[in-house]
Amino acid sequence: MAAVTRSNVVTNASARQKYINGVKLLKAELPGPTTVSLGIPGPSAKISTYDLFIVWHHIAMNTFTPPTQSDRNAAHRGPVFLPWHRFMLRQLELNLQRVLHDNSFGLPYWDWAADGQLSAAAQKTAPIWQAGNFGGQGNPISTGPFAPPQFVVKIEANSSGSLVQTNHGLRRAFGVNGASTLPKRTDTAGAVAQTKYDLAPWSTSSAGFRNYLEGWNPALGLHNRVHVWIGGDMLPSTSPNDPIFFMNHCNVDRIWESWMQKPGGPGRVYAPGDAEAATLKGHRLHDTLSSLLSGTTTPSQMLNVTSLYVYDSLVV
Amino acid sequence: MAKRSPEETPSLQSIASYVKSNAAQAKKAQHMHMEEGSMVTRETDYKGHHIVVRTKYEVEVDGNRLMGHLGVNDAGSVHYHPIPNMSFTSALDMIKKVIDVFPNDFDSNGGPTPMPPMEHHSGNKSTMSKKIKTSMDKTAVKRRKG
Repeated sequence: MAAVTRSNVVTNASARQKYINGVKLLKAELPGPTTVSLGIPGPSAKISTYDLFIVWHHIAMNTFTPPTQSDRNAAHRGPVFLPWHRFMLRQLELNLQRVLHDNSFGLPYWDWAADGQLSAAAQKTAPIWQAGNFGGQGNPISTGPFAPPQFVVKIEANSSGSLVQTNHGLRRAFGVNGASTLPKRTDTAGAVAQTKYDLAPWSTSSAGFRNYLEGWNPALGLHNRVHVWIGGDMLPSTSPNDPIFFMNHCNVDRIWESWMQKPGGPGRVYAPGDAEAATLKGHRLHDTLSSLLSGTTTPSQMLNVTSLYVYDSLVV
Repeated sequence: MAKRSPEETPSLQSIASYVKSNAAQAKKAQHMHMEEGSMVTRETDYKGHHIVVRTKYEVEVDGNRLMGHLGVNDAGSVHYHPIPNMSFTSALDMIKKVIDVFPNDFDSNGGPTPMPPMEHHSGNKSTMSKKIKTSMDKTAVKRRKG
């Protein structure tokens, strides 16, 4: 099968509409797992395929690697951040292709650094937030394809970090949680200029490309900044509740690909290698990635995916 | 579970099967509570010495224990797992943000309470009256010759 092309969600209306339609189909699809079967309290309720991605993200985040420390987890705050989310995005893409009956569908991305070039006020009314795209902010949002009652949050994390059942409309609150603006082009350029993928201590204290792009060094940067700027349901560990989550991460994945393909750049490199300490289990090159609804993979297998998908542009 | 290609075409049956095989781990991981507070251990080596710093945090809001996992990274920033994209230089500021993000978890009588299903609405309760107490119970620095 030929590689699919991932394109800009704002400028490619066809890809955007397919994504919206596909998300709604996955949100309505009930493959069998229930809240009881996954230990979520309350009455037994079937969990949709889309919501299983939310549960998966939460579980990976709650799995410390290793359990004796409280920084790195199985998907964040360490080297595996980029390959794990690439794995997650690809699983969503495969499921969207399935329900859309369209094997040529490529997950679109949101080039948030382009919006970051706008004024702080204009960022809140950028095209991505218009009713024909993802809708705007609110508690709950009241415009766009994901406003209630057509799209409802069913599972979320509470203040103690446990999954709970709920039933409310999607929430967003732009620029009020500590990040008043989106990242800019200078910020993405700073990430791409990094020469090393990751470095000891392999955590949120590290130098290197991964930690720069994840948004810990410099603080409240890039990926983290987008979550915090959007606010609402993008803040807890169940942030995939907002379909914009995958547009953010697809752009993060695009920036990673841009870094690997940079002329004269590092190439498709990854660290730590397999010889590193056992305390880095889950983050080394051939370690198994956390999975929930598919087979598993490794960071090594996520380094070159050009046979599966390509981006229409690597200008970030 | 067995390693199988993640590129196999998913189906309702395959999804149900994989989720079932991963259910035990899912149950275990998604209930990561700190019954006795968050113990944070940081370690490093310096000039032939092995340094271990253990810090125990207990967080209360209006006298009720906050049960999520609190961490401190090597640079000294604190973070709280339920708001995973933020870090803070002050644990007190961090808990204020937790109250902002989860207003319905803190009822008028104070303290974190579980949210009942189907009743999670959008009210923004005042956080001004909340009493926050964060205690750092134990900090130990151990050095040994390498």
